[in-house]
Amino acid sequence: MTGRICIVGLGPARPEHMTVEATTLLRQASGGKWRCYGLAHARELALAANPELQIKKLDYLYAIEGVSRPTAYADLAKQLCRKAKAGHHILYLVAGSPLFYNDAALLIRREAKRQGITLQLVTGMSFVDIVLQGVHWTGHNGLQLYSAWNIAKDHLPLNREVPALLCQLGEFSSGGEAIETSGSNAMLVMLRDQLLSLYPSDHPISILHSSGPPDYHSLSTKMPLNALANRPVPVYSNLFIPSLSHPEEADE
Amino acid sequence: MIVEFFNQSQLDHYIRPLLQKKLEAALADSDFKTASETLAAFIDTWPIGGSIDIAWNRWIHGWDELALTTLNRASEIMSLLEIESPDLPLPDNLPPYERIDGIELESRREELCEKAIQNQIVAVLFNSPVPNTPNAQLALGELRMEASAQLATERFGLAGLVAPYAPIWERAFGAAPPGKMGEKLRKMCDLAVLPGTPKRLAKGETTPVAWLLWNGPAKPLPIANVAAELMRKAHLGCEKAIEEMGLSPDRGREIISELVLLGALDRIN
Repeated sequence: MTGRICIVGLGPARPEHMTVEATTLLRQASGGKWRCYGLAHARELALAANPELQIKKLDYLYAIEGVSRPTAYADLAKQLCRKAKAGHHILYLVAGSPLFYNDAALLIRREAKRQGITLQLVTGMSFVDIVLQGVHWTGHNGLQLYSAWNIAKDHLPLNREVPALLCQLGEFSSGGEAIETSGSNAMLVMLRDQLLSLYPSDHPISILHSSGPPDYHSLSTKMPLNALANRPVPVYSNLFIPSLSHPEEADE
Repeated sequence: MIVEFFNQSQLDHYIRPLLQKKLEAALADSDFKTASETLAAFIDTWPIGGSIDIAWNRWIHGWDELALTTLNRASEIMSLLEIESPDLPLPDNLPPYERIDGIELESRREELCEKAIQNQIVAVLFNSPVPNTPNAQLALGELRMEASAQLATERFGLAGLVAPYAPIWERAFGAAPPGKMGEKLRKMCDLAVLPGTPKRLAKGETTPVAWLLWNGPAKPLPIANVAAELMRKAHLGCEKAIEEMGLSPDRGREIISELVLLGALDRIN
């Protein structure tokens, strides 16, 4: 009998951000019915909801020399689907929402669909909900959501009359490798130069990031565009660019 | 037998002198890799010497995980000295495992991982290294995640099958129990000035470093020279030792308190 896969989003930071649906599922998941898999931050969040949960550590996927993240994610998708096909019920735990910038979750969904495996998606609060607390964005003018890489390296076009949220300022490779704060400058310079071709140099922008554990407060630093690369940013930082017509949206 | 090999007399008159000689030779040849390994072994003879009896007993009577780590490190030191170490005794009924060539892992990944999930095996022993290719290493990663004794078996061989949570040597021991502060203090461990730390020595740095070495299950600690000098003078009493060192009373007391907290000094009752 084929098993099933459930991808559970646990929210971006604190256990309080977890949905009731996710918490209920985690509390029911101990006792051997589900086989649980997750990375370090997801494990920490899941164990806060159910300390008895036995969670297999997927951290090895990031530690194999010569294996890129896309390769590791593809392998994970195949592995979890194979286990489901063998009859196991799989709980794949992810921090944040599985719908935002989670390549592994997407590959699992595609592979499960291809193999006819039942897949349940329990979405969670995404990082977007957290970071937008740092600006006065309302939604009336729309929102462009890109990774910083999309703009700095892929040169995707931005509409200057629509606000933009550029995420993963600290992830500086196409494979999504997170690196130390100290390495962010090269990326910020590329991003700044690309944006200066679209916006005035004094256009207000906000760098949005988290204070980190344990409180994960939402922090915002407003500055003119030409100051974007003046100092390094934390790894998981985001950049909000208000539209030319509504620069006040960058206000805290 | 491994326990007799590491008795106090052997440690003082044979093992440590032999390691010292090997260390000096490696340093003279600028062979810093060997020097680093030998220095680490020399340092480790203290916790091993002070705990091998207990480790042996706990191993043969209960397949204790920390005991396995200790005995394995002792065996590594014997190998470094080119002395054959005996195989550890094992229970008659070992948990189920498979033995394959490393090259087979990739093609048998699905079968072996499923057996591990079903508890039909606790580990796979490899007759040869697993190839360093992405697919083989991804297979090994999954196997290590699913098979409860895989990592222990890779580290400790068959003995790892019965001690799946045996720690790595670097994490085997914690701090020594703290002492109590008093005016008259005694040393609770040996103090040795050695040619650096194993990590620094591996990089060719040979600045002498003082080490606190306990004859028991406590992690050896490098300390600052000023603390080492105070340790040496501790028998004079705190006040006299601090005065002879030319330290301010506050600074001297602070260092002594640290040494007491570390379990290097204790009050004489």
